[in-house]
Amino acid sequence: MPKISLSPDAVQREMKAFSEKLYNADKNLGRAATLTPGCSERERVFSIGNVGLYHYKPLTAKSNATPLLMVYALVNRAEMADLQPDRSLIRSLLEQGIDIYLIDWDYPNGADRLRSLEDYINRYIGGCIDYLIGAHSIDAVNLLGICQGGTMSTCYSALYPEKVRNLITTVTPIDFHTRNDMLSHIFRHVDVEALVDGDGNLSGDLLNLIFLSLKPFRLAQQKYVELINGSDDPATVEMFMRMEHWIFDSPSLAGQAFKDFAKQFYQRNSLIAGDVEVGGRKVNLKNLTSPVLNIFGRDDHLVPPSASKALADYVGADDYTELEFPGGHIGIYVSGRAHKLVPPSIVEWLNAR
Amino acid sequence: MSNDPFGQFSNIFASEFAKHAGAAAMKAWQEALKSSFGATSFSPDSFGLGDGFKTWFGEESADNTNASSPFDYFQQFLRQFPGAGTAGLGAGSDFLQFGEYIQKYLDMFAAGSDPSKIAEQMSSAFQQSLDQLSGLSASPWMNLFDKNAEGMRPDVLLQSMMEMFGSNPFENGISPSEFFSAIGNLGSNDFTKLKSSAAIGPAREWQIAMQDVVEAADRYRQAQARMQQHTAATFDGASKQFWQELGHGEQELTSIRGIYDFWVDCAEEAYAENVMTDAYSRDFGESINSQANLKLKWGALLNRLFEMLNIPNRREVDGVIKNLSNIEMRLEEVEQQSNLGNNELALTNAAAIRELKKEIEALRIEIKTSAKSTVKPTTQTAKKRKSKKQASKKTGDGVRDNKKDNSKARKRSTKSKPKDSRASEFEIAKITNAN
Repeated sequence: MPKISLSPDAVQREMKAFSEKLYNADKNLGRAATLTPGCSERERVFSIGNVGLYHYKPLTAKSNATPLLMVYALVNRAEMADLQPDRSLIRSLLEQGIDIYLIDWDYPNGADRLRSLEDYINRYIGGCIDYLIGAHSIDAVNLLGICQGGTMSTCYSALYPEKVRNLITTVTPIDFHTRNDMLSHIFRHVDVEALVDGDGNLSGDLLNLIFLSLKPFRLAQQKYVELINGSDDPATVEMFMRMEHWIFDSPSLAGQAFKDFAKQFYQRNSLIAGDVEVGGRKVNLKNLTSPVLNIFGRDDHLVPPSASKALADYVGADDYTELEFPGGHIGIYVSGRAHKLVPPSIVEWLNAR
Repeated sequence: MSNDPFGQFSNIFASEFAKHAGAAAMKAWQEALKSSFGATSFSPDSFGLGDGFKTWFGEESADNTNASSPFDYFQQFLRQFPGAGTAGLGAGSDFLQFGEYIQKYLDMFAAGSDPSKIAEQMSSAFQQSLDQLSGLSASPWMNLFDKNAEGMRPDVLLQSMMEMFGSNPFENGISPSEFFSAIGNLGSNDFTKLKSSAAIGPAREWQIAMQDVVEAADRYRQAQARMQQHTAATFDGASKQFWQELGHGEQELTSIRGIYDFWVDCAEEAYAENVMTDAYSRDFGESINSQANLKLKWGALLNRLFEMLNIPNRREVDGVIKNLSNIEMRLEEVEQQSNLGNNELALTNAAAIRELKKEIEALRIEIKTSAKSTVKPTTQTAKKRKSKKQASKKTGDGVRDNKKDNSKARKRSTKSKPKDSRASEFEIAKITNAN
């Protein structure tokens, strides 16, 4: 027999309480509706077209002389790493003396549709690194890549190992054809050429739908039921609204870059085969000899751990460390547990090198 | 309002799809629940029910809005969030409906209704829901075609376009009547006929372009129907799993929320199982590909039309973008060369300045020597000169010196690095080292 033990009184109380929360949710959520992510002070120090390099204002004396350049994915915005003061990877690193720069990809528009993966890796990441090398009179920078930004950073590090002192990858896909990679699986038969030819850039709305479709019941329904339940707690509501803003503040993907990435990485899985081509050069991960710290989420549904851990099998670095975080793709940056564990681990690892 | 009608079109397409699919999906799973509920041999006692449930919202809070119930109120509330809206719409209300369904059927059991009749009623409702799902018009694109199956009436087309764009996209260009009259006069006024008509005569190219659109729409419709079958299969699987596991699990569910969460777990599991099949991957690909193809064919037709009316179209804008991109790249190259040139010039100048300084210094010495031929420079003066020389050298070769310094610093850092990087410094769940 089913193990349902409902009493009419309890259910009636539950539904009444939920209705009342629903009724009051408007006021509570309305107050938080204008909250946006991003809390640390920063300054634009360098630009290449509409792509900007930002320097975060230090909060304490430097613990590491080498600046850390953060490279975010082309999907969504980098504010997720700086959501709010108590849930900010960037702020935590600043507080521990890391000198942080971040590339802001801005919002590609129709005129950016010809921007390619080569542009992102060589022109933008390379341009920003060259700027930092010149501005700080150094030979190499520390590089931290997030998700797709980690994949691009990995490519850059393999192409120009002399300019990367240490590489940190977070929730970064390397092997795109692991058994449980749902995103890769549903994208296997998509005609990327036709998609980009029809859309120019790949719209952020379509991307959102695809990401939501990976867990539709949780992400499109249960999440909002949970929100109503927690709507009388201002802190919960504020964080939810910042997250919600971040999730749906989705830039479009430059058409050509998306085409390059989807075909070479998601469909052909060329990175681990050494067949990815950037600016006429093959990316050989064996050339990546800088020390590597590879951080991934144990419960990541977008980039399964197996997709990230593959880096160990292909990288040329002797100094390679893995860090498995008990959380999901986003939780690694915004959860309270992550906030306590991930930034100190990064700083400790960096300062030991 | 976006300045990019194509982008806007795409966005609305996506959101409309989500809205319709989401609503239909919710209805289907609710009906699936009802069906499954009836198909099992529950007795009212198993739920601990006596007199059944009374009104859920009898003591509803005073309402100072136009909403007549929490259900309406939630709908109003969620509409405030256009970005999240379509995907999230109905979440709270669906939860309430979920509770209402449970109440309704528990009441029927409690009232002693024949379980087989209740099951039959639920199955029927479920089937109706699936029928509705499979007949779902996936988007305004399809509405546009559906509405015009009897002929390309300009007013209906305009209305459809207005619904999709939210306003008249041609307000700064040609008048809508000109636009649609132009299409309407191009050939057959019947899509079915159009599709099979031989393309001959002066409007041949136009006709082919329109036939392409019709064929693309057919392909898209078929692809969406296959995706709807997957959706139905997911709900079917989720429903079976829900009741099977509920019957055999150790878990005790004491609240509507608990039942709901358990349902979501089952649904996600069934969904993932279906998604990871090869058939799903192929059908998903085809749904995206057919949509892209439909857009392309539509775009080709509109490009042709806009060109005829001397309105900038995608082809023209793409050409401008390519030119702009080439100019940008060329500009960057020129800037780099210019910077390089400046650097070379600066280096040459610096070397010349150093030489000149040396000459000046030598002349000063010569002057001093000739003026005070018997007086040798003091030690203090010599030290100063040395210091100046060093400063001069540093200025001229500062970058290289700094690099050397850094290089040394790094070597020191490398030496101080622990030999075994596997040392477990982190207090975390797991650290592994591949080497």
